[in-house]
Amino acid sequence: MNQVSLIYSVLLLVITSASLSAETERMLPEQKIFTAAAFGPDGRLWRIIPSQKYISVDYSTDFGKSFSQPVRVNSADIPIHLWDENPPTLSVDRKGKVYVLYFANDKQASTSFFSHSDDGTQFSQPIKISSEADNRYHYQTEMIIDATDRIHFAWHDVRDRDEYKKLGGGDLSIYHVSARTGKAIQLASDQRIAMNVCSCCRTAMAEDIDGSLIILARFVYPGNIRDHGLFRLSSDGKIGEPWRVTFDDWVIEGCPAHGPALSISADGRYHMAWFTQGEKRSGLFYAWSDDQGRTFSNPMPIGDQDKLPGRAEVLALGKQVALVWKVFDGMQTRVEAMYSMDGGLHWSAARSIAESSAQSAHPALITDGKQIFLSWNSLDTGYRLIPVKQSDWNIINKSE
Amino acid sequence: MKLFKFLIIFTTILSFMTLPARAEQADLKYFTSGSYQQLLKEYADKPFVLMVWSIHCTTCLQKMPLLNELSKNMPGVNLVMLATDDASASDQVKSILVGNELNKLDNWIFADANAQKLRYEIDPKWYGEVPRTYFVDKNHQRVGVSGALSRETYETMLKEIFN
Repeated sequence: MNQVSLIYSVLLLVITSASLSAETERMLPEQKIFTAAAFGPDGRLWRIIPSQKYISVDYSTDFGKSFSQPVRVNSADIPIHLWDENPPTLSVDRKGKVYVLYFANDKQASTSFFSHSDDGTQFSQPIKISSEADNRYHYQTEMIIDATDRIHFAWHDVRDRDEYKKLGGGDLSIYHVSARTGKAIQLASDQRIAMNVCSCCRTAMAEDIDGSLIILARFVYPGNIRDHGLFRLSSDGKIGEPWRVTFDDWVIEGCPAHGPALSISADGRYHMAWFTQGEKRSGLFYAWSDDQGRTFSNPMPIGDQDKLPGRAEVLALGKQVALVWKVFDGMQTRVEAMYSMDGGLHWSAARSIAESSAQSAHPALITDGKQIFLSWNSLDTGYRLIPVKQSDWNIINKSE
Repeated sequence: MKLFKFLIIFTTILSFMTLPARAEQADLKYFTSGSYQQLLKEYADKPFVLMVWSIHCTTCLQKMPLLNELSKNMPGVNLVMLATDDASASDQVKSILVGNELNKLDNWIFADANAQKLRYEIDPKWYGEVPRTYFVDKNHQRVGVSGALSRETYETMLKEIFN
């Protein structure tokens, strides 16, 4: 090698390593991980793998021990923009079609996109969910497919900001759109379904046994009280008025960034979990309702108050109900679980079922129709699917 | 030897060339594990206010003009701002700070994927709600308050920690 080419190579090396280190520094904080997984009708477990420029999905036929080759969802690169309270979602319908919802920076930051696939081998072109996607900031979109094969999206949208300014609030609206699933999905026009919603807390959705969609959100009540309300979207399209269901009186002019969870069992019982730091009640709680959410059982406290319990998820499968939440002791994050075999009346003691000493996603509960699983992802241990079973758990807590 | 000399000179020039870019980045410091302790060292024997916010927090944004005003009226007050958004949101964070003329303050952004650990290092009782304001006196005794604060609260608390 002559001297000139040696100089050239070294220069190249210096320049490349300089830009590499800058790139690494820029990329480091984005090693975010999320848990979005669902079972298909054939028992396959599908999950989302986000990267910085695209979303992929893969599947497992052995309950998460091994996964297939990933398939890209968006063919054109786009900056993916997710955060803990704005995670991607994956759904599989009863015909095995796969639906993926994610957020990416387009004309607006964290624009909501979704793509669908007949069998998970090839995905449709990304579809923007909001009719104002290019003009108005929107996020925290939730997706659900109902029993009549309609796909629903509900999201937080700032498009009514001027209206709120007039009213003097700092909150926003929930918008909704739905469509019939099929080869091509044509979204109907979107519409506002709720106002005065706390801007930073995820909303929870579940389908009631009568086919209506039930939405649980953290509302902003007069005096800046951030408590929860429910409302109903009937199958005929009627939008119900929201009513308040938690009365903890958490007064905060700010962002709890901590949304609630909702599951409706086949017998029509509503199961709800939520976080609050209210005057009247503070911590993580569970309650159920047998009258379509008009009244709820006495809130049952969840988790060790000294370990920041939060991010509760609830899932009912027949009479089985599982609750999971996160705790943190300064070093370790643990997912703790409780289990009920009688629809939430009696509960096992809490126990730790997974742990991590690195960054971890919010815990999620999923089912294959036979049992309930914790679906969780952490940087040090990777994706895990852990059955939540009653086994030898002692039933000690009572919720009535 | 000539080559070696050349390389030394070249890399020196290169590092100078990259300096302005680094200076710009310093406007928004990366808050990682240990950064809170670093802050306490930097402000040893000095009172300061740590204002924790997020780009997704409408209330935080609404209160920025007030912070701007306070920082101008009370130039002796050490105001430290920390955005809990991850570093991928740096550009959004910077533009909000510039828009509110708060970019000259001591500004930080969360830059560790394990945000819970960062929050815990600041305050083991804090669940992550924002805005969260810590009034830290010169002995580093502190009061943490969640939610937006009124001008009166700021003025009262500031008097308390600076006297």
